[in-house]
Amino acid sequence: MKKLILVLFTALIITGCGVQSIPQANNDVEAKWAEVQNQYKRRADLVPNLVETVKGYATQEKETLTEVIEARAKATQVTVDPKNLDPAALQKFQQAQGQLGQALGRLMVVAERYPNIKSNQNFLALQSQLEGTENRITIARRRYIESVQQFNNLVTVFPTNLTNNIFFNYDKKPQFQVTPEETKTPKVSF
Amino acid sequence: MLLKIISTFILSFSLQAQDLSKPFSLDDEEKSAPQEDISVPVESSSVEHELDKELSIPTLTSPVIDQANILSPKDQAVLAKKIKSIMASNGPQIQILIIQDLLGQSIEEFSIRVAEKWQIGEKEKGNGVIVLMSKNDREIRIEVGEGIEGELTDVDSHQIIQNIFVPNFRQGNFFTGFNQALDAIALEFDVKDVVPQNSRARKLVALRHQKEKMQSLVLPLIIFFVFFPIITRFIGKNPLIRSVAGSTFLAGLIFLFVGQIFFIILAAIFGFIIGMIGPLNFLMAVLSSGGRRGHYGGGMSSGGGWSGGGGGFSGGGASGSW
Repeated sequence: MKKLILVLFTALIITGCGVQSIPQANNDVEAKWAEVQNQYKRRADLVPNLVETVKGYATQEKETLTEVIEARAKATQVTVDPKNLDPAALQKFQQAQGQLGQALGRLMVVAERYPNIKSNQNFLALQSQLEGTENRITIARRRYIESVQQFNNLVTVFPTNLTNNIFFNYDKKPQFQVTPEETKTPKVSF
Repeated sequence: MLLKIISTFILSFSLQAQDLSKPFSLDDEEKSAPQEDISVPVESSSVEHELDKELSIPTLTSPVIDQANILSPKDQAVLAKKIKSIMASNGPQIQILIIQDLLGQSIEEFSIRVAEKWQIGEKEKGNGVIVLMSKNDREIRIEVGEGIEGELTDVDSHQIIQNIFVPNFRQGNFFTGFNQALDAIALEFDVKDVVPQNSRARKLVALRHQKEKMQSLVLPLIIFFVFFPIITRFIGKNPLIRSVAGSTFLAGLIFLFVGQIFFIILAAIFGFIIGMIGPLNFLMAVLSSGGRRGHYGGGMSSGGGWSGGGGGFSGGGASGSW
């Protein structure tokens, strides 16, 4: 019996038992999630300026503008603590951000109808910032997805799953679900 | 006589080694240009080969990689030179990549893949910029490293694309477009003197940098030659022990003062040889051949490499089409 334990123990060590790599992967997921939230926040921060600028030209588009403002307000309320990443919280977050993304997409389409807006320097600057931020969000999300995949492999695949069961008891981290609406929206390029 | 030969050998070796450790040197500019000429046809043929497979990222060989043969070798050399001089003036590390076709991928997607593979820019500064152009798609993107998104903002990138790339590319002036864009990027970083590499001013700056580097080696060497003879008195005449002591002592000093692994290894070898022949013998040999030292400065040349430095990217920049 002692021999068996010894053999198992050395096997665990040789194959990389996960004592180090599981917490490391956990930290990495948390960092990647923080980056995702950070980039979404960056987008939300652009909204008030954008709304102000469009308002000056398109006063009759009140509906679209209030929609954006409301979606932003909702989206900024939903934050997920990196330490408590669970599927329900992630879904709620994603839903709120998705709504803001869609509302923003509509706003940019509306703005397209007003030629004067497109000569406004402020609007052009905001537009390129919004494009850049959408791209940053895409990248931050992809990096989160890759990081979670690595973490989930560690906690579910032998032999590191044993270490997880004994020492850490981490659950699998939730992944982004790409909803059908999300695939067709927030492309804000002109 | 033998001592003289050994000491001159070490001296010339250390001078050349200095040169090798630099990212690129003045003298290799002319030599690296023809190398780029050769690499262009090779690369474009390999791309044609892989066109029907997946969009592959080429190996990083020079600051300008043109797979679509839009720029002449001479134009490429001019742009590469400018990129290197921007970098030498504390600007960002810029990389130009021109591809034939995106094969349906979005330019942002491909651009970040390239950025993650090449890691242009320094790791601590995140100061890489990738200018990616796809000929068939008529698209261009400026991908900005995460450390310099404040200097080269999305808005700046957008404006460089709209005001420089788009009008020039529409008229088919590809070289002018890239050339002016490099100037514009450099100006965002207050690099105003984008002068050719072989100009007098640039050479003087490079010479000063090299002098500063050499000076950092002087103090540990002085300490070594002052204390090592004293140490050898205590450890006796066994050449092996003396060699090991010399090697450890000098390597340790270089580690403390310079800290570059390359110089530490060099110091270990150097210290070993001095320990073997005795520090005082060595000093006398160097002093007697000191008059000839100027000779070694002339022969400095080495192959300048071009690679990324671990720079991170998080998707800043802008895209456009013409």
